[in-house]
Parts: sequence; structure tokens; C-alpha cells
Amino acid sequence: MKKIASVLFIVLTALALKAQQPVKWTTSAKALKDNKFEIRLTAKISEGWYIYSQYMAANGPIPTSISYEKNPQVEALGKAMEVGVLRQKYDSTFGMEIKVFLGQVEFVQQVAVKGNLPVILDGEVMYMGCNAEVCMPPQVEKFKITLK
Amino acid sequence: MRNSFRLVKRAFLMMCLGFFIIPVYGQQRMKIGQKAPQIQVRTWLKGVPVKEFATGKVYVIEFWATWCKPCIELMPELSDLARKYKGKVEVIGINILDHSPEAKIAAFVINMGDKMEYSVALDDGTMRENWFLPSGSRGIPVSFVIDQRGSVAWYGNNGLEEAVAKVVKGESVTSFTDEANPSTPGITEYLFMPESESILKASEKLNAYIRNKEYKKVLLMYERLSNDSAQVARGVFSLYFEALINENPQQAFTVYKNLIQQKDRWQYWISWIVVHKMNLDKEFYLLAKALLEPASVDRAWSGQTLVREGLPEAYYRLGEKSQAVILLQKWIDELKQIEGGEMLVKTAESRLKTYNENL
Repeated sequence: MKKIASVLFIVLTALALKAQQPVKWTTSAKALKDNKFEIRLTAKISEGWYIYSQYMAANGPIPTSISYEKNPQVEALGKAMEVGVLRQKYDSTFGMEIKVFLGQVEFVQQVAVKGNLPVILDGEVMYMGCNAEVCMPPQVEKFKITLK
Repeated sequence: MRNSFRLVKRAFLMMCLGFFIIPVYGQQRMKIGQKAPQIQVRTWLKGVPVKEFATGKVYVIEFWATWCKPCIELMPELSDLARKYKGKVEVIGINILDHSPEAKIAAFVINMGDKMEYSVALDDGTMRENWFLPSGSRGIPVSFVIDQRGSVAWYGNNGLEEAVAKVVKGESVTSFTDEANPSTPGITEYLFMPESESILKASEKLNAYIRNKEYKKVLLMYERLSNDSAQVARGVFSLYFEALINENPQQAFTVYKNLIQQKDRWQYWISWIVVHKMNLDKEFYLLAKALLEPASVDRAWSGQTLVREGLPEAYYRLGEKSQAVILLQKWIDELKQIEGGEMLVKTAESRLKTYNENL
């Protein structure tokens, strides 16, 4: 079965120009061995802004979360890894450990695919971005990735 | 025929995108000096409920959420402000855009103790609609200062203390807020509203009806939604209009005219639907054209696709095709200068091609 790396698009989340968004997302997918793929969701974060890790306790800022639409052909293997420079510290505002990313972070997820290719995987990432003065309300970016 | 299909498809795509992302799109910008919108909340968690702004008193309305670090960090300063100007200034913290249960928010307020020594209330969606969205703020915290006459004296993300000091002395505050946030489309595209799930569910169903041209079903469902939740119904208003314009264009015209008269936040969105529908009464396109002309368009909207592509479309429908070409070409030239504008350039260019073919 021929597998080629595929890079697809993230559904644009606003009619307004994206240039105004402090966090921009792109997706890519790479074929691995044994019908496995690696999906990357990359967040480019403007200077002065940060977003939160997926791995934080409740009762604080809302952690980033990634979810996929149910697809019998695709199985997510574990939770997404985070590749970026993690800043972790105790935050007295929330009374808990806080993990944030500045600049850029990649959420790397392995998936196993059954049946014929290509397969389309729909999903969404929910995240919130802040700078020293304001926080954007949690928002959702929808994405669509073709695995082929 | 192919062209018309493409247009419908494009309008539909824009609508779908809008519904996933912009349950409530931008509205008129709040102006310094305007009468402050009313205060309406779900519950008061702390302090004496304020139903209206008393003459002679200054109010600070502050929007916050439990997930917002800068908001929490600001609370002790707000408490200091409330203590410093006790009797003259009333500080009210309004919790918005927070998915936490009410009990959890109430516990948060109790735990904050004297770090939150001012009145606190929970938004029912009204404050978000009438205050937060028109502020065009990128996020929270955002504060509003209401002067002794009940007018908006200042709003913004920083500079609250200086603004309050001036307003208390009866001085006006330079409207630097406007300059600090030039023509932003507002926060609306980021919103993750408490009702967004219901809106999304309803729009999926309504979209399916529209795809099957079952407009009567859309109108019936909209009526039901309006009875159940005004907020959800507002969120799907453009789908209702899409059905109405097909089912009863005359009534749709009255609705459209009223929207424009009331400067309703949907007016630009609905205009997009109007200008992309063929063979409507000329009056529809004339209304759209008048609304979308640069001289009359709201400043916050002047750089938006809905407006910049809507106006040439209105000209095109009215048969003024060369003007349509000029306007659309100008927009394309501007888009080419902007990072990330490639997709918009592509769609606009394909439309321009149609204009040129029909010149």
C-alpha cells in the first residue's frame, strides 16, 4: 500500500483575517510503519502569549484538549505528546502546578488505521491563550486531516 | 447554472463556517459617552444587587472568569479601588464565559475573601451581549467605567485606576480605548459561549432542512427555539432568515429593513445572504448597498470580508457591473498585502472572474 506524507489544512476558524489571532494552528500527517500515522497539530504562538498544556489538574485554567470525531477506521494510540519548551511552575493565583508553552508547541498523536486509504480524520482542539494582561476565552479550532 | 451553483455553495460554506465559529458575530461598537447599557445578571453572589445606575455615583463593571489568571490577579487591585472610593464608586465583578457550575464560582468568590471585596454577579448572557462584545475586547479582564450620569466614560484592558480617578473628579477621559483597539472585529470569533453547544446542534438540524429546501420546517423550529431560549434563537438567526427569504421574501424584506434600522449585530451577515441570492426584488440590493457603502459601514466592520465582498456583490446584482469589478479588485489588492489572506484572495478572484465574464 502506497503511503505518502500528507499535509492538509485546518478549517479556517474565522472570516476575519487570521493575522489578528495570537495563536495559529496548522496540521500535518506522516505515514509510519504498520498502518500507523503520526499527526501533528502545531500551534504558533505570538510573542507575549502562551497556551496551556493538556496535562494539568482541574480547577484552574482550561487545559488544551484534542478530540477526534468517531471514525471506525481510526484508532488514536494514547494521548498526544507535546513537543515544545514547557514552562512548568507552581502558580499561586490558582494554587496549583501550571504548564504553559510559549512560541511554538506541537501536539503529536499516533493513530492506527484500518481498511483502505485515504481516510479522513476530523477533530478539534480546544485551547485558551493568555498574555500578561488578558486571556482569550477558550476557543475551538476544527481540523480535517487526510491520511493516505 | 454552474456559476450559480458555485455561488450557492460558497454562500453556504460561509454560513456553515459562521455557525461553527461565530455564533454571535460582531455588533456595533460601544461608544464613549453613550448611555450605559442596562445591568442584567443571573444571580448576585455578593453585595447588594444593582438594578440601575444611580445618578451621582460612579460604577466600575469588571468582567472575569475563574480560568483567567490576569482577572484573578486584578481582583486585589479592584478591592483596593472599591475601598479607596467607598461611597463614590461601586465596583461590580461580572463572571462571564465561564463553564464552571454556579456553586463552584460561588465557592471561588468565598475563597477569595477580602481579595474580592466588591459586588459580584453571574452573567446570564446579557452582559456579554450588551457590554463585552461591543467593547471589541480581545479577552478578559475588561473594565468599564460608568460616570455620574450613567454614561460610559471609559473601557479597556488597562488604565482603569487612572480612568476612575478622573471620572470621580468629574473629568472626562480621553477615549484612548478606541485608538488602542483600532477597528478590531471584536472577540466574537473566539467565543465559546455557554449556549454554543445548543446553537451548534440546532444549526446542524436547520442546515439539513435548508439543504433539503424544507424551509417551513426551519421556520417552525426557529419559533420553538425562540420560545425555549432567546439566546439560542439569536445564534441561529441567519438560518432562520435564509429560510424566510425563500419562503416569504416580503416578510424577509421587512425583517431585513428592521435589522438595519436597529443596527442589529446580524445586519452585515444577513446582507451577505441577501446579496448572494439571485432574483430578489431590487429593493433588497439597494438596502444592502446603502448599508455596505464605506461611508455608512461600522468602523469595526470596514475591513471584513462580509462587507468588502458584499458591496461589490450588491452592485453586481443591481447591474452596475463595472463598479463591482473595481471594488472587488481593490479588496483583492489589499488582501494580497496581508499575511494569511491567500485563501480569501482565491475565492475573491474566482468571483471577479465571473464579474468580468458578465461585463
